[in-house]
Amino acid sequence: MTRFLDSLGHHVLFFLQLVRLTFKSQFRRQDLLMQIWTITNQSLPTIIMAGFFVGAVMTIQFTLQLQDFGALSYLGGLATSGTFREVGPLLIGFILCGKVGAFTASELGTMKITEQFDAILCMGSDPINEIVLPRFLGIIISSGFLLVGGLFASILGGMVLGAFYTNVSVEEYLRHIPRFLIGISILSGFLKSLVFSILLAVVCTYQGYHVTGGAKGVGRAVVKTAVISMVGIVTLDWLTSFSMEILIQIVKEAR
Amino acid sequence: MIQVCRLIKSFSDQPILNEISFDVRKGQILFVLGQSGTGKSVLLKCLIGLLKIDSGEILIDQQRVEKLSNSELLDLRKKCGMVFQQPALFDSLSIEENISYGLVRHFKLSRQEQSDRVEKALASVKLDQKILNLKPAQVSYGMQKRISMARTLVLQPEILLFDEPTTGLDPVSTTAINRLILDISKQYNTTSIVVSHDMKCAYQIADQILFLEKGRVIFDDKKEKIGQSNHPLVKSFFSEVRI
Repeated sequence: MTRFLDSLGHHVLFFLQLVRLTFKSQFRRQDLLMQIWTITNQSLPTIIMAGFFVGAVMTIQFTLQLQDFGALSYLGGLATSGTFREVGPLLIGFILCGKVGAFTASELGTMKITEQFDAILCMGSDPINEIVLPRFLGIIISSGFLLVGGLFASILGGMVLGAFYTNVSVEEYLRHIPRFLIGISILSGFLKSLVFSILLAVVCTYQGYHVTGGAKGVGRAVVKTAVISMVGIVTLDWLTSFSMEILIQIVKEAR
Repeated sequence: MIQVCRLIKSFSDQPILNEISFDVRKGQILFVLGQSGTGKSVLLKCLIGLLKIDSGEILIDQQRVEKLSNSELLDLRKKCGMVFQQPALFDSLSIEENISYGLVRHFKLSRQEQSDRVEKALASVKLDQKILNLKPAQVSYGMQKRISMARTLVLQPEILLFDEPTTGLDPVSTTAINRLILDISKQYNTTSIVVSHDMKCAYQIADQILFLEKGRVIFDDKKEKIGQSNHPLVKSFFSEVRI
């Protein structure tokens, strides 16, 4: 328990340091743009493919439920709302953990053990500003773009499967989406994605930057990044879902 | 230029450096010798504040290193260049970008001035400009070491710290690197500290030799006087040169 709290405290302090440095704006803009481009470019095809099939899976699941009630026309609305609010952000968070989180932790870890950070320090620069901060911000900003890409792919996947598997036409599928996909659902999806990406960005940069013990240490950092961020994402998913439900209830009562 | 007084450094209660004291004058080359694990690299890292010391004093240009804040340390390090045991080049950048890394960040130079300084640094480590667009992985380990030196030299530091500069190199490259250290020190009039366990290198290029054993200084004098030392370890290292 002490070790858990100690690790949590270090992650929080590292996060606060990164936030402080972000507002000091001492990093180079082109480094940040390069990171955003690299992460988005490398992960978008995977996210789109996964998003497409998630949309398709959601359609199958909802079809089984809605068929019994003869309410297949609501398929598009329910599947899309579910994907936007829950499955989309969660799935993108997991994919980013495996792809970007592991890559960033191993990249930073290798830089650490090969004394590249020390070399940067010796040239009078701060490796947190120069190397870590652009990656931290890059992951957070890119995850927004990736979420949009993944969600649109999921609508497409649901629509295609709806048309071929359940004979729900594209017009029918899209017609009820605005009814179910209210502002709070979209907000909930983006809020979750933002929270997950911040968690992932902190964990992978912290683990990579603090690697010790050579190549084995890098391996440990990658495993820790995957485990901590995945468990953290599921925990935060519950927390944000719970908070959003309370918020929705409050909004409904206020109306 | 550099003064170290009663420096103590330990890692989790295990003493690494024990009351180390020495001086290095401007333009001098100090060679730090000793067996593996005696704290030579730790000493270098302490000198420029990469590691915090437990007690003692380190003075560089009248500045107390251990009392400097992080931003003051970054400023001090702009005056000191360090060549690491591993080349520590950035894999994703080209050789030109690697060498100009510090220039881009700390000097407001035109593109032409930048490339002039990069070419000059590359020439001083006897490398051809054809490699500038290559990535570090595309050149040999010996060349990577030289590029690492060029990256340090391009910032024109007043103090140069070399951490085992010839480790992993063949005898021909080792001699070439030693000659380079000597040339660079003369050409740029830098104060240099070279950490190694290679007595032959020390004899070729050092003005002064500091010998460490288990974190303590057992010899600190001009290289000509090392033959007069009665310490068994110094004697056994010295016998290597006579062979």
